Amino acid sequence: MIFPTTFVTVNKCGKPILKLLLQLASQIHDQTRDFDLIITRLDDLIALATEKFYAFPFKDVPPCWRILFREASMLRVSLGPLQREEILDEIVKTIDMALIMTGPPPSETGQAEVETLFNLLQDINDARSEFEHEERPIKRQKLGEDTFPGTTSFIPPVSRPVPRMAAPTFDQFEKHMQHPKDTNLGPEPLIITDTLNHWPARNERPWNKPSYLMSKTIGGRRLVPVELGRSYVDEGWGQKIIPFRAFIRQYVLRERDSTGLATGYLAQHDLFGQVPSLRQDIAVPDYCYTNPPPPHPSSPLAEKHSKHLQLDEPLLNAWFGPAGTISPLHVDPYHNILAQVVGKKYVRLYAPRESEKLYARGIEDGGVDMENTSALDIGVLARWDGSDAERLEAHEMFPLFKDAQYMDCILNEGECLYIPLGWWHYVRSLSVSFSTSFWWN
Amino acid sequence: MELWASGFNAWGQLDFEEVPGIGHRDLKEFKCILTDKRIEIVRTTLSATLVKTSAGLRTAGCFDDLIEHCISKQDNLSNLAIAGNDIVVCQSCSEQDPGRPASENTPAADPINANESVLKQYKSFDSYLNDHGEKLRQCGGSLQVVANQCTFTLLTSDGQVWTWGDGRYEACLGREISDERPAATPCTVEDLSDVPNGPIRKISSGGYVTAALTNGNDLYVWGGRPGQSKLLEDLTGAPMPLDLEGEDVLDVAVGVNHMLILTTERKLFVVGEGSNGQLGLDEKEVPTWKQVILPLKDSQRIASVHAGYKNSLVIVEEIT
Repeated sequence: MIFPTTFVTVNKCGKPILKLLLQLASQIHDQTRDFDLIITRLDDLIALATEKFYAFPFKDVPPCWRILFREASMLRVSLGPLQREEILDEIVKTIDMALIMTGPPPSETGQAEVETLFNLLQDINDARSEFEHEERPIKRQKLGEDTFPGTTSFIPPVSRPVPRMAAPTFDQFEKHMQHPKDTNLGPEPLIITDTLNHWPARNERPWNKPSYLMSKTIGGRRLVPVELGRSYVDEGWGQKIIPFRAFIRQYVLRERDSTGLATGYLAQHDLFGQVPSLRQDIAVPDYCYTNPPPPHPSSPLAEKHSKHLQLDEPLLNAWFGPAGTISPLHVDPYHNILAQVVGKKYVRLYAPRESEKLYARGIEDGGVDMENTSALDIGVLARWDGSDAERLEAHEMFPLFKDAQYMDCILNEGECLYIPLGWWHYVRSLSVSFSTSFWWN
Repeated sequence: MELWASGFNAWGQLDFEEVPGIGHRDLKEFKCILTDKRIEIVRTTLSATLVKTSAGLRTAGCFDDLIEHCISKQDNLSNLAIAGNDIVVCQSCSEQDPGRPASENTPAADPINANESVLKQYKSFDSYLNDHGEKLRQCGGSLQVVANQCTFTLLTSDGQVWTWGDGRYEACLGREISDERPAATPCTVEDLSDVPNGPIRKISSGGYVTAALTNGNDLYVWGGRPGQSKLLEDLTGAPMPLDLEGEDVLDVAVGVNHMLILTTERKLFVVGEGSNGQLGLDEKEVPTWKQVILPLKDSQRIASVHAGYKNSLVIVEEIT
């Protein structure tokens, strides 16, 4: 910004110029005025200073005109992204693309620099939207009610409910894992209630308000990877990287012109590494710092899982999408606490010892290891999706499935589900849903 | 009479009436900004407009040192010109202290008697106020002295045009530079000394261009700065008669990078840069002469034109 000493010299340009420059600087600072007019005036001052460069032999140009040129140019630059939204779009897109494609910078300094840069861009965006709020309040009402739409029509029946426990202590939870009722089965899934109540994401930083999520992502400009298609094993499944705003509007709120679009799911994305300010809205549950038992011997993946290195910190992932997103039956490589922040999900779980009835896909053509993913489509087999013919065909193809024992639940807003290592799970969102998973070992 | 204006208005120099809000917008087309029985544009600066009305001097915009001085003296100092490079030239009665009121002795626009006058040049307006100047060669009784960015042009009462200034811009002098006729010394523009339909009755200067108007309503123009696109297509360092579809020229005004012409048919033509609205057209640039039509009543016509810093002012009168 401008320092008082500058004015001493700009003063030589004459009182009117000093007055105008001060006025423009304070208008920029207050962020309450017509940015287009401010830009015009800064350009006028730059043009005037330029005229002086020609009017005097170069060595004789009074220093005040050089200083005017510099100060007006600096103020002009500071206004660039405020003046034209596209400039901000472009900057955010470029950096985010680099982050998503290449990962965060390797050094801590580099990471801090990126964070500082995003904080600055966030400030510029906030200044801009404040200005727009003041000047054009109508434009801000675009998000309508500022809530996500309600539940879908179909809710699967729960037949073998996962038990619920209200906020167990650290020791109680560790005991639940270490001393299972049935040692042949190993630790069982558990719904933990009343433990997310203090999360800012469920209180003063409401993740169930689109406007809040937009405000934390530089006006929804941050890019996110989105999975397209009903589930990642479906044909025609794809991924694209789009601004968070477009994701919310087209795929979550399904605003007009969005019909015909595939289901979009922001799945298994390290959103909190990308947007640290959202990370502050949640807390890693204490349960993730317990010492979990080793992989249960009944799991065919036990040996593979036992080779995973000890994690320093739990791994966080965001799962955000509309009603109807499906994660097909699969096994995670770690113990998992799935925290349901917004909306609800149906989850069905199969113990490791059921594995042979679940038809893991194994190594597929092209060498992709799909051992952790089942070939079963639970929705079709349970008669929720697809036709009768498809169901019959599936049962014929997977005859052991009918004997597989499972547990299921509807995970409600504010609840956590503990998924023990090696347990197969099928997850289906019943409404707009935002969950966070914490993996640990 | 009415004062119409268009263009640069950063300091509200075109707003004689109070305008709400902090930022003054440029006028993108000509509109009436002042009405009075009698209006005379006496001076425009970067940030202010000074006019003489039946009620005395009136101002709009933000005062700079010059306008403040004019107001304190209640005089428009028509005998004083300031160039873009701060240099001030003043033609005054020899015995007169520039700090003293000039209006009593030298009413504006009255020719100054050659024998009693002295032409002085100052490095800046401050030097003028402190009377730290140097005498220039005597050119004769002056009718008008004008400046653009780096050149001074003086019109004597017998119609001679004299120029001097920064030698880097020879084209602006309208004459050759030589040992006998150095850039910094006032010398006559020979090309204009014996023009048909002469002699010269008015001069106007702005940016890097100067124009001279003859008694017979012919217009001569010269100037240009190397590296800058030409204001007029065939502009050179030699005064050239301007052919505007055969029209006779009644009045002319040259701005920083734009120009206005009023024909004897009372048609207004403009050319040059227009991004601040100075042409009265919403166009960034007008490369060749274009007519601007003001929405005047049948009983009105344009009396004169004036170019300020990136703005234009015209006086509109009732046809009697």
